[in-house]
Formats: sequence, C-alpha cells, structure tokens
Amino acid sequence: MRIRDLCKEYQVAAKRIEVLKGLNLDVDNHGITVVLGRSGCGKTTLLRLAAGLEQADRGSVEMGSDAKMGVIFQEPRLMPWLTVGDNILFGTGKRQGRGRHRVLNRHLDYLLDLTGLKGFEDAYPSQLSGGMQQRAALARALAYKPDYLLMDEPFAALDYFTRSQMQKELLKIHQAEQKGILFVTHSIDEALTIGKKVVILEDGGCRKEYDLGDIPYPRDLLSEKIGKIKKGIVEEMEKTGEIGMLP
Amino acid sequence: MNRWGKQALGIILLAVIWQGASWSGIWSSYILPSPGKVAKALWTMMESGVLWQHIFVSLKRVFQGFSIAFLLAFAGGAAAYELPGIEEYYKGFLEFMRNVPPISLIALLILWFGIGETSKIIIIVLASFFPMYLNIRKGFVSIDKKLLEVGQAFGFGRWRQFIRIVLPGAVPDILVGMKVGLGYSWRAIIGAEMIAASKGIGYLILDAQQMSRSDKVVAGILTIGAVGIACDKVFQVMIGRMAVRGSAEGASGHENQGFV
Ligand SMILES: Nc1ncnc2c1ncn2[C@@H]1O[C@H](COP(=O)(O)OP(=O)(O)O)[C@@H](O)[C@H]1O
Ligand SMILES: [Mg+2]
Repeated sequence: MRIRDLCKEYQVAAKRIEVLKGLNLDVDNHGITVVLGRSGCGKTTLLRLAAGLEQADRGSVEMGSDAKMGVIFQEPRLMPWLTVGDNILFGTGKRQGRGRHRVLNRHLDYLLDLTGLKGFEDAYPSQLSGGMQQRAALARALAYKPDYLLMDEPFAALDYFTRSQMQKELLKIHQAEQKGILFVTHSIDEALTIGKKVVILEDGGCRKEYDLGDIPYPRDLLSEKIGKIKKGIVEEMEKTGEIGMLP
Repeated sequence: MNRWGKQALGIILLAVIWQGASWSGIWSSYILPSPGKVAKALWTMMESGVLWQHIFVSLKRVFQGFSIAFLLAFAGGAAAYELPGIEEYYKGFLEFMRNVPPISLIALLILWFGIGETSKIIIIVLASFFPMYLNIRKGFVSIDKKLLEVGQAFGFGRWRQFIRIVLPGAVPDILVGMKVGLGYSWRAIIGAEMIAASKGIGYLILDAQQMSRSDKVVAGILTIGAVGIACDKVFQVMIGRMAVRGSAEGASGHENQGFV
C-alpha cells in the first residue's frame, strides 16, 4: 500500500485545521508498520482515509485494485445484539446458527482458536471483558479475509498487563496470517514491541522512519539496541513536539 | 409477602371498601352497584357467551387498527432515517395531529367514511400511531454512527446497512413502541365503538349506559382493564421469545404520547 501526498483539513468553528499536509507512507504488505504520534496529530484521520471512511482533499492511497481492508477501531464496536460468533462472521454475510442449526464453519473455529475465544462463541459482547471484546473485533476483521489490517490504537483502553498480552497475541496472529498491518499508536513502547517499521507522524506528515526489521520478535525493550532507538524517538518527538502542534 | 401478594392485597382492599360503601346505603345501587351485582352481571354475560363475542369483536378491531398503525409508524420511522430531508415536510402536520384527540374527529370520520368498520379502525389507528411512530423513529434515528462505520468498512451498501445494523439496532425501541401502541389502541376501543357499533366491549358499556344498567357498565370496565392487561402480558411473552439479549435491556421509550 502506497500513500502519496495525502492532505486532509477540517473546518472547526470557522477555523481551518490542516491535519495531514502531504503525507507519504509505504505500508509493507507482510510486516507491521507502526505510525507513532501524539494525541491529536492525525493518526485516526490517516487510518480513516486509508479505510475509505473519509475522503481525502488531495493525494492518494494506492493498493491492489481489489485489496480488502479489515479495520479495527479504538473501541471494539461489536453489535450488541449478536453473539460473539455472529459478530466475527459479521462482514462475511454468514451466520453461526444456534443449537441444532449450528453451521460448521472451519474458518470461524480457526479464528476462535487463534484469538482465544473458543467457548465464548455464544456469549454476547456485554458478557466479555474489554480485552476479549477487542479480540473479537480482531477476529471479525480477519474473518473478512483482508489484505491489510488497519488498527487504530486498539489496545489503548486496556490495562498494562492486558495490553502487553494483546501485543503478544497480535504478533502470534501476525505470524500465522502474514497480513500487512498498519497500526497507529501514541505509545513508544508499543511501537517498539510490534513494529517492523516505525514512522513518526508529526505536523501533518511522516517525519522520521525507523527500520526494526532486523530485530526479531519477541523483543526485549530493555536491550541496548532498542534502548538506543527509543532514545532517538523520544528526542525526536520532544523536539518537534513544541512547534507546529495542533491546538 | 411477595410482589403478587401485595398486588392482590391492594385489590382485595379496594373490593372490601367498595362492598362496605354499598352496604352503608349512602348511595343508591344505581349510582354504586354492589360487587355482587356486578359479578352477577359478568357471570350472566359469560354464561350466555355475549361477553366473549364482545371481546372478540373488539379485539379484532384493535388488532386491525394496531397493525395498520404499526405499518405506518414503521414506514414513517424508516423514512425519517433514510430520507432525513423529507421529514421536515410532514413534521408540522404530525405535530398538529398528535395534539388532536381522535374522538374529536368522529363527526368528520362518519361524514367521510360512514358508520362502518372503516371509521372505527381509523380512530384506533389515530390513537396508537403517535406513540409507536415516536419510539420507532427514535430507534432508527439514534442508531450509533460508530456501528454504521463498521458496515461501511466492510463495504455494505445502503440496504445491507439498514437490514444488518439499523434495523436490529432499533429493535428495542420498536418493541417499546409496539407495547405502548398496543395499550393505546386497546384504550381507544370506547371511542371507536361510539360510532354506531352493535357489538364490542365499547358498545357493551355505551349500551348499558343507555339502559341505565350501571352494574353492566362496571362489568364492561373491568373487562376492558383485564383484557388490556392480558394483551400486554401476551406481548411481553412474545418479546421474551424473540431473544434480543444484550440490547433489549435498558430500552426506554416515551410512555405518554398520543391521546384518546
Ligand atoms: N470530523 C472531524 N471534524 C473536525 N475536526 C476533526 C475531525 N476529526 C478529527 N479532527 C481534528 O483533527 C485532529 C487530528 O485528529 P485525530 O486524527 O483524531 O488525531 P489522533 O487520532 O492522532 O489523536 C484533531 O485536532 C481533531 O480535533
Ligand atoms: Mg485517534
């Protein structure tokens, strides 16, 4: 996926806010590309444009002509009236069925297994914990058999332990599925844990890029190599943070 | 004592006061028929089968009126969601009609539609349309935009968005609307059967009034209340069967809209 010269502005109370100003980004179709930035820097906007949920003012998002996107929002956004199984199948047009009418669906079984939701297929979203709901949302996106996963701070609302658990599981799922993932986050540690490539989004564009392709998973954030990269990222973000920040 | 015990006690207490009042002899048995007299009137009508006929005829009218009102309310609510611009055109008219008691239209309805079933059913439709429309509309219009985006991300078209997200999301409000509407349409039966009826619970009461049979009037009122409660309970059971867990709870609606 190639994003070129992407521009987007919003009109808020007669004031124009330029969120993206000619952003360029290449998203690897097998690895995890992490876009890192402060709150309000335009991460969600970038993802929504890539997902086609919003129209760009200028620029393009190029990918295969019939590439499919699986979107995972910051909130799980499950349908409260559907069971977990039916929620996972939501984008496929299939149904899980109940009791004797249960339809055998290998892909669903596989996804329930992969996301650790086996045994919860008949539960309703309100009966699940936040982490489980987010896993169901991930399974729903995967059931759609997308070429890319677009993930908008999906673990930001979770507590520390659940979050690192989910990061591990995402890496496991990524190993199994080998999809291109565009993941946006404000957490430097999260970026360093899962990113093959980490890009800093600042002042409407991708300001700096870090290639972590040669550091294998699972990563030790306390290692010297990652510590150095982290130091660089922190300095970079503090430097650009003062100027050009959006209100 | 449990819930049912308390409710039963309240009713028994009322009956005792009623019996005491009629024994005291302050009021004539015409003004305040005794419970025994009312029970006898009820029993006579049940035994001869007229009461059941009246109930059946009234229920049929209510069911017809309610169904028509539901279809209109559903269509109106769906239109308010799908074509938000068009709502402005009929909003004013609906607001006006909502404030006109259906009974006040009886004279015109007879003039236009005669004294047959049509006029009676229109009264019921008018009485039950507004509470249903307002609830159903609320269900459609207040659908969570974030859930709609999920469908959009999956490339759903307009129809699929409606069938798979908007409609199921609106079900709790639709059910509340139907429940409230059912109550309103049943209570409108007296007004409807003021129009030259020869059968029905409303007719029973009005006829008893003409005949100065206050015991039958009270018997008719008791029947209306009892059948109303029964309808509500049957509907409640049907909703329970439909198993809309997770979203059915917490549904609230306008309980007090529309007039008779
Ligand atoms: N629909 C919108 N209308 C107006 N302003 C918006 C809209 N969406 C986002 N913005 C503004 O764009 C900026 C970037 O928002 P967002 O992309 O949500 O940031 P992030 O996800 O990085 O926190 C914010 O200043 C926000 O106020
Ligand atoms: Mg955001």
